[in-house]
Amino acid sequence: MNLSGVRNAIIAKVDGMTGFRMSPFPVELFDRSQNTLAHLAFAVSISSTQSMNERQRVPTRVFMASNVSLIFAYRIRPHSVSTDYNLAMDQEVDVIETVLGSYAATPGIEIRYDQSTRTFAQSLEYVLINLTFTTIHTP
Amino acid sequence: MAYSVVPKMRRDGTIKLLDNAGSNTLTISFESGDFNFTPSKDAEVIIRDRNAISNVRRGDQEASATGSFTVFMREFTDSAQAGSVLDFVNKTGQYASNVSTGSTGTPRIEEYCIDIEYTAEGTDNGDDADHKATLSKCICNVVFTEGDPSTLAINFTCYGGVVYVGPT
Repeated sequence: MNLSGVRNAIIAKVDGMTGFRMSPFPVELFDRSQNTLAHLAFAVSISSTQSMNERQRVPTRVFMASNVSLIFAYRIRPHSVSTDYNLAMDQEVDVIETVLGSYAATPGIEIRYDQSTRTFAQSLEYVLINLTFTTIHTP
Repeated sequence: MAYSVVPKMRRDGTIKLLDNAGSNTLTISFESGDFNFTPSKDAEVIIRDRNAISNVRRGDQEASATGSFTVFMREFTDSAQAGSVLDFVNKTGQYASNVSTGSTGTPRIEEYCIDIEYTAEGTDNGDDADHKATLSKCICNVVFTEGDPSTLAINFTCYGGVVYVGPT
C-alpha cells in the first residue's frame, strides 16, 4: 500500500468513529482549526518515512516504515476540566484501538502504536492529543 | 571486456530455490538481503615432527558449504498458492510434490534437499554476464523469530558442491 493509501486507511478508521471529523488543517497546523469545529476534529500526517533493512529489489517488493502523526482535539468545559481531561484520554484509547484494528479491507499495512503527547490550548478550551504510529508498507 | 569495476550490493542479488532438475522453483522476495555461504575444504590432518608441523595432509571430505539467508514471514504454509519458503524447503503445502535434488547422484542424500542459486546482477551493471553461485543438495533448517517484521532464517548445509558461473 502506498503512502496516500496508508494515510487514507487511517483517516477512514478515525472518520468512522462517532463524532470525529477531519480538520481541513494538517497535523502541523492543527491549532488553526476553528474553535466552533475543533471538538473531535482530527488530522493525519505521514511525518517521515524510512527504509527497512531489506534487499530493495524493485521487481519484487520494497518495504518501508512510515511515521504517522494523528492529532485530535477534545473540548474541556470550564467547570469540568478534570472530568473532561479524563474523558479525552478515554477517547484517546478508543482512537488507538480503532487505528490498530483490522485492515482486511485495505490489505498491505502493518501498524504499531508508538506514543501519545497531550497539550492544552492556551485558552484551556481544548486538549490536543497527538498520537504517533509506525506503519510498515510497500511504496 | 575488462574485469568488472562494479562492486555488487544487496539490490543486485536474487535467490532462487530449485527442486530436482529445477522443475519447481521459487524466487525469494520479501527478504532482508543477508544471503551468505561459506564453502569448505577437506579436513586438514596436521602431522608434526616433534612439535613442528611437517606435513598437512588432506583428511575427510566435509560438507561443501554452509550458509543462511533471512526472509520476512508472510505465511508458514499454503496449499493453494505458491510462495511459501517454508513449504519449499520442507516439501510441504504447495510444494509437497517437489523432488529432492539429493535422491540421485553422489552423494545420495536421504533427507529432502534442494539447490540454491544466488545471482548477482551483472549485465545491468555493464558486465558481460550475471554472476551466479549454485549450491547443490542443500538441507535446510528454518528458525522463526518474531519481530517487526517476523523473520524466517533459512540455515542450510550444502553437500553437492558449489559451482560458480561468470563471464567467459
